[in-house]
Amino acid sequence: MSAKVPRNFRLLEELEKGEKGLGAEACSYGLDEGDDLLMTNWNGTILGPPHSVHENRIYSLKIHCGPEYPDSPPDVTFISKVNLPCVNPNNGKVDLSKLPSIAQWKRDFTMETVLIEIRRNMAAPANKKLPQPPEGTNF
Amino acid sequence: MADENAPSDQQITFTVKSSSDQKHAVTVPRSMTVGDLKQKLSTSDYANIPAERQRLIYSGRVLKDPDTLSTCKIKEGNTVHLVKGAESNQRQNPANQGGSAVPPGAGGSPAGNVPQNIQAGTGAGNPLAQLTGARYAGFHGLPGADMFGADGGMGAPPNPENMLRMLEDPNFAQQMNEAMNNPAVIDMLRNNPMIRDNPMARAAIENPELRRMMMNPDMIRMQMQMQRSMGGGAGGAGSFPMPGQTDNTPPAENNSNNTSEGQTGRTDAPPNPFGGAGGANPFAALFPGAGAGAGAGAGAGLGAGAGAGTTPGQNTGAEGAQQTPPNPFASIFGGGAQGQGQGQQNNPFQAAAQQLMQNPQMMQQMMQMMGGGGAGGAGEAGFNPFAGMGGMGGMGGQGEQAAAPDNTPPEERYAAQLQQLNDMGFYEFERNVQALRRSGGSVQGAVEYLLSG
Repeated sequence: MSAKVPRNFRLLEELEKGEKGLGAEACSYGLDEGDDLLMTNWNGTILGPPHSVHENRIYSLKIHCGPEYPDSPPDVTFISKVNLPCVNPNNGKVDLSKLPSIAQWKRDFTMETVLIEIRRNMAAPANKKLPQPPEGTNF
Repeated sequence: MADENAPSDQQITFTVKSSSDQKHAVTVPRSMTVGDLKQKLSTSDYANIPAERQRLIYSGRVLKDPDTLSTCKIKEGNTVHLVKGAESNQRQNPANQGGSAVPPGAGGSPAGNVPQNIQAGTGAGNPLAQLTGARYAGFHGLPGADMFGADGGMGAPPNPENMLRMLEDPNFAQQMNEAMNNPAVIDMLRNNPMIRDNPMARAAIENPELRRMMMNPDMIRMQMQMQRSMGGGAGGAGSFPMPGQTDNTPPAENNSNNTSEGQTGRTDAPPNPFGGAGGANPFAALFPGAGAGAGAGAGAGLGAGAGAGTTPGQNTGAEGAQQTPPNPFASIFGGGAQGQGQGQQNNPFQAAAQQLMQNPQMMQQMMQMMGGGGAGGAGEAGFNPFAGMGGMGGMGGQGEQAAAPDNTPPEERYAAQLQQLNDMGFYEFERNVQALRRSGGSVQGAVEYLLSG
């Protein structure tokens, strides 16, 4: 069994990737408070996928990486209002179990994986035409 | 984090990565604001995107213009994402950039670039003008798009032949469809004060069926045929207020013509399909009671409406409409068709929607009338998908009829909207009904209410 990367190292890795923009184009993430030594609270954005109602929109999210991360998935919550089956319409919380590809959480999934999967879910044929609340409204 | 204490005039170099995969290395003072940075990036040396359309994202956050780079904690060597912002459907108005009345930085508002105030621009007060104006010219390269309306640069509306030819074009249908499916356009329509403040008109706009009909080329064609058979008056194009036409004074000639006809009992009826030529008119069926009430109705509709409320001819017309429920169109076209002044404007939809919107007084009159005569039409239209429009059916009716309360249960009244909500994945019937009630039948409003719990 290979050595597990401890939470801190893992998060530092993700932080660097996020700040340097090494990851995917369409998602961005970074620490909410620069001096958060536990690196618990993060911000994320998702650019609405093209050819969908989300095109040209920017969605903000909060990501909470608990002490168990990355053994257990982070809590992801939309700040910008969005109408998606996997998002709780009352508080914006993302139900990761409704995202097929990450419903079974694996340790090597990252925050970026989650954001990208959410974005892919937005672009899914079933969701890309869903009526959306006006841009700029928040939960 | 270590360099947070660095002096604020220190230069930093970071990368701006734009969506087209271009990278720009930027070296600027730390004290620079995001707004200034955007200005810098807007030049052709960099991204060449107008500052107000730039969105800068760093570390999971959208950067705000007044913030400085140091408060955003951008560090040496980091990457900031630049996104071309939500100019809500750039596909739709390639020809109209800069022309639309968008205050820069209206970012927070829904569909930022759509003129919220419809009165701005040439097609004053006419929501349909926006559909056919310059924003669509050149789109799909449809034949003779510039024939459209005032902001296409032409004063006169298209002649009927051109219009027909255009209607044959599948591109046109597609385009109309696209426009009607574009939430921004609908929003725009909805935000027109004329529509916003009028529950009936709003229901009409909310109802996708009705929207589709309004934009249906066949419908427009039908209107044009009628207009031809009509012949008299200002004739042809003049009496057909195209979307985009800004002139909202009804041609006086035509007006007086109809009125006098009504009074003289249609002695010289032939040129007017409503007055007596009913048999030959293919649309007679759509206007039940046309033979009876048309004359008076035509006169009444043209602003003389309030006074004409007691004209016997009109009463007959309204009754005729109410007695013919089997025809699904009856409740739409029925009394309204006559009272509404079809002698003047031949397409019942166009007439109802457009003429009214162009003329505030008329709108008011209609609202008053709807209180009375409207109730009958609405009650009958219970199962009709056009229930929202049903009220209009009666709007030509006499004012003295007492307003009957609308007893239609909400699930019938909002059948179409409920269906829509279901399609969107809102399955809780009770909540849906409640939400629709609160929003006055607006699906959008209901969704908002449902989402906000």
